[in-house]
Amino acid sequence: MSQGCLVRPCFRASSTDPGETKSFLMEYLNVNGLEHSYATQRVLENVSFSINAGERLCLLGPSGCGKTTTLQVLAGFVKPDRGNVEIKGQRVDGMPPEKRNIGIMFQNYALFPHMSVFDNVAFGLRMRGVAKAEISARVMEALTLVRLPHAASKRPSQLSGGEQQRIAFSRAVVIRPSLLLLDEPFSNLDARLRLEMRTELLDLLRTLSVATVMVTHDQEEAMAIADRIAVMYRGRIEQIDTPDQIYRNPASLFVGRFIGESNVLPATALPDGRFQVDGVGAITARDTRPSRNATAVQLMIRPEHIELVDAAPGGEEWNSVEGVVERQLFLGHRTEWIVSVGGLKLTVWQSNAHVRRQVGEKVTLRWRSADSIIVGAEHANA
Amino acid sequence: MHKNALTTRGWLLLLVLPVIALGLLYVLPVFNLVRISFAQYDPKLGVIPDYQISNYVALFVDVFYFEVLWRTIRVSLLVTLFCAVLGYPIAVYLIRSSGWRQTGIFIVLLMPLVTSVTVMSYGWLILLGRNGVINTIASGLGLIDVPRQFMYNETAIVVGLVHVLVVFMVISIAASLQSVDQTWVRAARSLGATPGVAFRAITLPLSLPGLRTGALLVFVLSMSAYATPTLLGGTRFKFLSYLVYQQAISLYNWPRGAAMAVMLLIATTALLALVSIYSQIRTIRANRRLREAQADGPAQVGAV
Repeated sequence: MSQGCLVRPCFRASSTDPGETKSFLMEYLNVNGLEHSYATQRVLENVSFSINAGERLCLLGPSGCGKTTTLQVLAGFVKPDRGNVEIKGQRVDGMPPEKRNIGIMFQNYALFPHMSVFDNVAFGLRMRGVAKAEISARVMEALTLVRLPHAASKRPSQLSGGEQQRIAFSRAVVIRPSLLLLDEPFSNLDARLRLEMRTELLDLLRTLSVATVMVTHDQEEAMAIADRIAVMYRGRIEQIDTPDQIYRNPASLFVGRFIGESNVLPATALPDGRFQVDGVGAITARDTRPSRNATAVQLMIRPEHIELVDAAPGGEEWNSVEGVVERQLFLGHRTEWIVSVGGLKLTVWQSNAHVRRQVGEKVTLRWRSADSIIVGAEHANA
Repeated sequence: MHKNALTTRGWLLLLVLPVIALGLLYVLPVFNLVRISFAQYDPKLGVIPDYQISNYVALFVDVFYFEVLWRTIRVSLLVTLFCAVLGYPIAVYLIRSSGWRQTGIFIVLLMPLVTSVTVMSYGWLILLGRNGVINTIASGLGLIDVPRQFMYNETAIVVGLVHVLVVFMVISIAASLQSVDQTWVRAARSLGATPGVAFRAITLPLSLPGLRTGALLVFVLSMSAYATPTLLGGTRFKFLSYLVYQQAISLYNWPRGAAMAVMLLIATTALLALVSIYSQIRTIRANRRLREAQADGPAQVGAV
């Protein structure tokens, strides 16, 4: 009951404002054609995306891909050369950061070292001129939400990394932000805590249902937290879709390689719709390319989709090739084989495999046609 | 806790050398100074080991002495204030610049320390003197009719001391500004603070330790300054250090000079102690306010 005012601020606002209900269905955050350069280096090229109210979008990519710059543009710390940002239909790109009402959880948490936890969380409310009694109530509510009400009088330096992160989160959400930005939220935590906090943060974000943009280079984090992922590379959004779609139907070779492991084979499109892989043979595959003009393509197969079998299976839906085992690695939860097929090396994973092969043994590999994906050639500029 | 942490005995051993050095070079001479300040002086016999408080009594009834002591304190406080006000922006500029520009600022700041005080005083004479640059320009522009005397007064002492001492302020403030993470400022901005408010709430309080250290250094150095005030203050505006010099060196009255030096030491220490006590009280009060705010915090949550 005491959490009534922090939890689900969107719904609460919509109940008082009838106009809000309509905009709830519209796109909540709109980012249009962001372009930005540092000196001579272009860091953002036509970055556009939009998210719905309560949606969690993750900007995912290697370092230098432009994801952090995009976040800085949203926060108002970087003014883009071109493009605009709208929140609830209102342009915010001319506004200074303090006017945008955006909650940010910084990579290093950025808790003010000279203030108590209470004062840290209360800071945003004091800036908004909230009455003293309401400040205490809302701060304690935000601290209760992250299960740290007893830490109110402590200094940030007296808290563990995980606790600091929770305080940073409550400081960012206590102001009821219209947008929440999370910058590499787990990068400062050790591996075990990272998993724990991932679940906890997801629960909190679901409870609050606040529109969130998160930046990470860790695909697992992105997949666990996000409703949709925007994979960025060299200042562009390569693909924006649900984690499931990004994994199953990568729009480009980069996405296929960056998300998960994959075997990538150069292939040529044949007139009969199949694809010729040199040294392997004709393969049936799923073509996800928007345009099918090019004949030189890349064929992608996930290691976990390839099976090691004794005999070639029948049926149209299977591809099968012969190869020689080069290496066998038992990794506990799975076994990894490197199989040489006509000069190409394929990685094969099998979970709970009790099959053992000898190095040098001849084996048959098979996979479903639907699991070999044509992703087109790599970018001309790559 | 740490593998390479020193044991208590190790620490004590490390302390032996500094303790001996401080004892020989500092505690012993100061003890001797205090002892002599109670001795008597006879123009014919010199220092007589007859220990009384007569030197201090003589100082307490001496109006001129108190005037000089008060001037020393007042000017030193002014110097500290001006160093803080001028030094802070310079420190901000210093840490924001890099490469040659930073080196350039350092050279300009350190220049007075490597220049002889006499040369510097003549420099100020060229600027502030009756026939100096400022008077020439001002009368040329018709701002003044007759040349004014800017030299040989308290203003000249303040200007000269700020010139020499501001570097200590700048370096201490810059050191503590360096530790202010810019993401704290960004966090404050994202929470609704304008750049000015973010500076007051984050940067300024976090750089206060540097400001405090700088103020302490500048004040202590100014209280004991000798050459600059003597050369720039002229014959009428003396600093206490000059009176000490006069008694001990010109008049050979070591006990009186020692008593003055002890009074200077006490005045300086007392002022610093007062400031320290004041800031302690403020911290305690702030902590108490914080505890009270939290004590009624959860209760109010329950009431909502």
